[in-house]
Amino acid sequence: MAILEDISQAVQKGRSKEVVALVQQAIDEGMEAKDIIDAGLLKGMGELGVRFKNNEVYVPEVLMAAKALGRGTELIKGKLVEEGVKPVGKVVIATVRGDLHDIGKSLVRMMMEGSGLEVVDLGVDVPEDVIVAAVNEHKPQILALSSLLTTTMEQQSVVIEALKAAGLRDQVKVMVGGAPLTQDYSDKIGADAYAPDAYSAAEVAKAFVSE
Amino acid sequence: MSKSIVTIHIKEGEQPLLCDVLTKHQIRFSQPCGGRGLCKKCLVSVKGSCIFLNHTKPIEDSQGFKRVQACQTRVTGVIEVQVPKDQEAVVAGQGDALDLTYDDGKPGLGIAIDIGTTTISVGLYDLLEEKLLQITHVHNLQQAHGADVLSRIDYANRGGLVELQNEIVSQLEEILESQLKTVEKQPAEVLRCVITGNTTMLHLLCGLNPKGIGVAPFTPVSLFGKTKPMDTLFPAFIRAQLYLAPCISAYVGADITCGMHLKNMGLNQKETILLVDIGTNGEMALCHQGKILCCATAAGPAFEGALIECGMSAAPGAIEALRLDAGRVSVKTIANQKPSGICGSGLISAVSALLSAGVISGSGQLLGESHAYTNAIVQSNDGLRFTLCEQVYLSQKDIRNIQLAKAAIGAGIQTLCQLARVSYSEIDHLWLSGNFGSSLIVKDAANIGLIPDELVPKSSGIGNCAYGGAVAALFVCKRRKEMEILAAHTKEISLSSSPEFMENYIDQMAFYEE
Repeated sequence: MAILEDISQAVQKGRSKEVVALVQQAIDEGMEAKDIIDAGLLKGMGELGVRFKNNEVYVPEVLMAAKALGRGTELIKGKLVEEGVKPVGKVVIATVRGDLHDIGKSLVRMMMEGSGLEVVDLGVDVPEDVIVAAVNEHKPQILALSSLLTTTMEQQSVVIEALKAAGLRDQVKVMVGGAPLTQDYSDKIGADAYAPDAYSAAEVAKAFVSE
Repeated sequence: MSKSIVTIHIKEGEQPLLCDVLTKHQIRFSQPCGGRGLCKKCLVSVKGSCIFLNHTKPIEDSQGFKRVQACQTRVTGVIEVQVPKDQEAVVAGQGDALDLTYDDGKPGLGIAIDIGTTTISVGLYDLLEEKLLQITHVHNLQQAHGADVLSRIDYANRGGLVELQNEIVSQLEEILESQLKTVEKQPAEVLRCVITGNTTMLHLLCGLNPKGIGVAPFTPVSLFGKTKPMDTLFPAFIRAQLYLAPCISAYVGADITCGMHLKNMGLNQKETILLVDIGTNGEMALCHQGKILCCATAAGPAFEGALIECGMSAAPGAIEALRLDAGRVSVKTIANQKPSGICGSGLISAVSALLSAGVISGSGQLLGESHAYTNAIVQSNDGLRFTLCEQVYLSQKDIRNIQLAKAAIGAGIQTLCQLARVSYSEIDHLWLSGNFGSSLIVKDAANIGLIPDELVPKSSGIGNCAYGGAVAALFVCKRRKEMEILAAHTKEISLSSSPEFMENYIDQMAFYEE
């Protein structure tokens, strides 16, 4: 359908108004919400994610696209519930205690939302007990932790230990990321996955929920 | 590049990392990524028994040497290593001539020291004759533990505090010993010493735990501004008083206090002055109508050549300017040597020229077509590259790293002025300090958005004003008190929790609006 491709393109160009108009038009034409989401909005975000991973587009473009995606999704939310469409999975995400970096974590959230996941964002500088409580409350399949400083990455291991102590470690996959991290470090602290960039993070999360 | 060959033996049964072996043998190189295998700045050629980590498979040259990352290689037996001959960084001069009243003159010697994360400057002075006797600029040897303050803090956290302190103390001792020897003087003739530097460097010098600087809410153990006997740190200097210049916060250090003092930023200053020190951390201060606001922003080490694939420090052979003219690419290097990499000022010049020629789009994308320089574009596995000359290129990823760095500085300036309610037209002077800040071409810096266009005519590079301020306090003791008042009067705004900064930062990531 041409209109779905138009929606995908408008998302990639970050044109919120155009996205809203096109989504409304698609609804009026009687399309199913699930198709509009999957073949339009999420497809656009997915394609942008690939271009982001290849450095062809950068943070500002992704933020614009995420905003457009959000506006489009908002319009269609009620219809999704009507059709009984559920998110593919749930993620709790946070930047760990001592670290105030927001952008990287937010990019991951946007890419994950762009993959159809429901994401609970706890914000930055989040202490381990708050993270554990959120895992307990929201029962996500995935916990994603971010840290941008060499001095705060240690805190990710503190969170994992706190999950163990609360008896929740087996109930959630833990993903870690952030500039100073490596696969080795992720293995060392016993995380389930490391993702080097926002797009890969969304791919890994999708793979986890479809297991 | 000239090379020396070193043969190294290790103990049986041990498999140490090559970088640790080299450091132990006093072979130093910088490891901006802190040994995580990311920056490829510790490349050396090695022959003999070693194993390569993380599935790297280095290629062997005709003499049997393999090019490896020292941090990703374990030594298992006898090896032979070729290391690049130590490169001394070119350090800009002291900047402004000092206008000083030497009212504290007593016969004896004085020492001024600026401990930068990257570079250390040490000067020996005759206090009575008011004369510079010796000056030394060297790399900070702690660089082996990472390029930025955070990796040093991390190293200290992992039990390395004593090692880091010993490293800086003995490096300074060696320099001072050699300076004194050259002028045939004794340590006991030294009466005063003033040391400045960023908050972390001063912590490491004094052996104070820098842990609190590394995590929010960023609390240092000390902000200094203290005098103590010099022999508490340097035992040979039994008669000298050591003054540690005052810091403002965890990330706005004594280097900025000294710089502000030198440029007469203070309560009675009538002009509006913006001081920006561009290093791994961009620190800046704005003085307007008797009020001073400051902030620090993490630019990352891109402008020092780290995290740039062909990046290097500002040493001979570094590309410092790029010219594009009617389809032809030409480069200018420091000391006109054969180009071996690109330094910070070269990056600014190159990106500016490529933007103006339409090779880089406003959003920062390197374009493969529709410009006059398609011949220089090469497709690699990691995307497009622009060939600057035979050995040196700029990759798409490099450009993204430069965008992050310049957005941090650009948004820092913007946010500081916004929160102080000062418009660019009200600013009388923009002083750019630091080696990089002093050497960049202001017009190019504005073209890529590092500094606002409106400030170009008001900008000047002022060299290492932190060191200049330390010298000022060395000669005139009452300047210490003035600095302490200045530091206490300066208000820091925290950018990492400022919504204005986040918005500006994202806006400034692009070069131009498309």
